[in-house]
Amino acid sequence: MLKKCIWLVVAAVFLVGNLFVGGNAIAAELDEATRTIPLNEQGDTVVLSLEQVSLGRKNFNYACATCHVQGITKTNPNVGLEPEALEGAYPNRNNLEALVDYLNNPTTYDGLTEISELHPSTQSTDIFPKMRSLTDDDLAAISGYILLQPKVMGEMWGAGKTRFSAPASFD
Amino acid sequence: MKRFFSLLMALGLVFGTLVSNAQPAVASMLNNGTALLAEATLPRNAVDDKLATDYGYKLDVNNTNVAAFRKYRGLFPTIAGKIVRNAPYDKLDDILKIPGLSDVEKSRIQDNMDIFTISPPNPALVEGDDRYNNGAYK
Repeated sequence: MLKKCIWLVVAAVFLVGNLFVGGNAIAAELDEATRTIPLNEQGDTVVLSLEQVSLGRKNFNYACATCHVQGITKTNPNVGLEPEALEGAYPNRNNLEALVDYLNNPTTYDGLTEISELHPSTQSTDIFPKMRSLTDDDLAAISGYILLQPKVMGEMWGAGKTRFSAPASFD
Repeated sequence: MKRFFSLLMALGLVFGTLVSNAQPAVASMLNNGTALLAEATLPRNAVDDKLATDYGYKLDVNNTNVAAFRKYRGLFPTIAGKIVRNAPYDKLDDILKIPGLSDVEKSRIQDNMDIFTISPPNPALVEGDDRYNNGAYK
């Protein structure tokens, strides 16, 4: 009997084994190392929980993606949300605390002018009503999602048309 | 019958190898030919030549597009806008004398003085408000 069904047994072991290996591979896309993002300018890091990631994605798509879809900035394509652009800001915005601070108190790219009337923030909920429903946890989750996405999408995050349709060589 | 098939297979293999080998060789010969032709007849672009000068590596206060100032921290958009709006300049130090420059802005320009350069305004880079928007979007 076993001899006859040996192929079935082999196939079953292979498939069940694959289930575990495959399952791990999918979970590994968002393992702890990927979810570790910079917390502040001093170099501390924080691990986002999976709940924070899904909350951040939901709220980013709800409140930010109108202009920042896929990490670009529709109103100024020169400055996106990719890590290089966030790092070049003044102060350095490539960390969670600085991004939360930006959502409370947005400034120009060089930090010289306060622009809460031009960029949604918790100070300007009268003209940007979507900001009214966002709690501090939501803001942290959104900021975490912005910092996580370049690790998930790679250089496609914030690349805009340089990767989708236009020649990639211009500056 | 079996023998006929194996003969057919062998012939097919030999013939297939010959054909598939021949094609890349032909293609690479063609490529070389067109590349040589292109090099001989390519016209020189004045802006390409300018890119080989300091303009290609530094911020030319009379010619560089406002977006290029983003590469250096703290210059985009306030200082970049003021420099572009008050161009052209006769000499590099004139950017420190722009009216309405705050102390912070002045000190940031002074800290970055080595990344600026100056050359006469080039119509190809300046005309049609190209310094504000040269149409190169992401």
